[in-house]
Amino acid sequence: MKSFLIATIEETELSSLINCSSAPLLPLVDRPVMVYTVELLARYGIRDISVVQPSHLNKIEKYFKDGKRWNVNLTYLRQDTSQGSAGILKEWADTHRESFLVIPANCFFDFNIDAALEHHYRTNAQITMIVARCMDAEHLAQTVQIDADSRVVRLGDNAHGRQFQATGAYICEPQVFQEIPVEPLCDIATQVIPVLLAEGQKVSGFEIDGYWNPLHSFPAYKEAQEECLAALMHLPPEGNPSRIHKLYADGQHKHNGLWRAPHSVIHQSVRITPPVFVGEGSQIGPDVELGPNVVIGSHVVVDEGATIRNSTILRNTYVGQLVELNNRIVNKSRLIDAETGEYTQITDDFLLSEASPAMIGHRLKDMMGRMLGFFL
Amino acid sequence: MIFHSRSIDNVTLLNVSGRIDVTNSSDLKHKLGQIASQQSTQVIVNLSHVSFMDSSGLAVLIQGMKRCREYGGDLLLCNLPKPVHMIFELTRLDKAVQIFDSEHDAIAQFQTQRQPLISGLNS
Repeated sequence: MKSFLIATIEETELSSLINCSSAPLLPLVDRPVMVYTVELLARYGIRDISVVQPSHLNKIEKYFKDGKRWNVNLTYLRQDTSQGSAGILKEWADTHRESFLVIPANCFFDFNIDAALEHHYRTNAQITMIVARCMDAEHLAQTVQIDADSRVVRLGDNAHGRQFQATGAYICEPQVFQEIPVEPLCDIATQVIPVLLAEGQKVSGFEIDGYWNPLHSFPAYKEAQEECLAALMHLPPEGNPSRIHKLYADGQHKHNGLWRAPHSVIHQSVRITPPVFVGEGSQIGPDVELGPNVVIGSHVVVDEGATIRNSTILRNTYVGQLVELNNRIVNKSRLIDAETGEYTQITDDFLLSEASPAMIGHRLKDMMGRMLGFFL
Repeated sequence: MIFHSRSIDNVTLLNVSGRIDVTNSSDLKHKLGQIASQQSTQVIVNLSHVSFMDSSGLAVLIQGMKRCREYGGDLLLCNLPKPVHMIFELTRLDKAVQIFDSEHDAIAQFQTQRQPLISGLNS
């Protein structure tokens, strides 16, 4: 089966604040979110994947290359600005006959693709919308009303019927796109589906049985990190079983709720409150407290006596001695509130800065220590 | 950096606006020194219009607080914007200095501190 990953959303507020060059490369537990979707597709035997990316950017291509590392075959399609999301799909659909899957590359997906396909064929739909229970209708683009036969009856708010959120993922029959007029080239959600509904054609809704996160806000990002951590270590987040079926990461799970990637160095005095992920090549100094819900990215240095809770430290960041972080995202010298996205730039490099491996052990018992000692 | 100070009920309120960093923290130090020279030991610094602060700004405020406490008073902070509050939390100085949501709350704190003293004088 053919799958398209739509990677045309370049930046969101979230990705720009953490200096992530492209929304599908937003790191979730130290790996780009798109990796999880590629792995999901590979698990279901879908190896023919085309990534639709902006014509002026090839950062995704640089990271994923030909996809062999994930045992898939990745090809790249350039999206001209004149085309909507459906435009490039139409080009492919004009010459093919088999159903295909479309998934936005900037969201986290974990669902039973076989069950979704079975639903699609059983309902004989032209398009099956992959939907989720409404969680944050105020900030999300499109709600979907579905009847008792799983048929999409309308888009947009409606007090009656079962309300769901469109995830942006679809299973499509190619003839739908063959019938679309070439001009204007259009978007599936806002232009193709309304036309199908108006014509009385069958559009089905399949409710995700796993976990979906649009990563559209800071709270959503925090929740996704916590879900991924819990799934990785088989810990129930806040008492509920993880909604993610399967998750991979390099390294190994230690019994004390620590996931440790290769080449990381953790001092024996470090206190861990699970779950905690420590990325590749990171160094955690003496008397550091980590957890719960902490993600330390790759090549991070956490210096002596720092305390980190409910936070994400992005790769190549130095966290200074005695620093305290709770509910934060840190990207080098940028300190971000994990709930609101409010941020400040730290100019004192002994507190937060870009990491260099030589830092640990060579820091003076520096200004902050003296400043605290001065008073305390 | 811009200052505006006034007194309410023996409490000096200092409003600070702008960035406080290594290039101008000495101005804040000078201003707090002026307040101290007027025998005022109960000081509230309102940081609602401070957009940024670095360690030199933190150090000046801690120094000012220490001096007030040495003379039986205190220096309280109020109306910290979130980015500034995050810097206090990062350095754990939010545990060393008293931070209030409003000037009113900070003034009330001084009043409750005085109350036992007044009660003691009356008895």
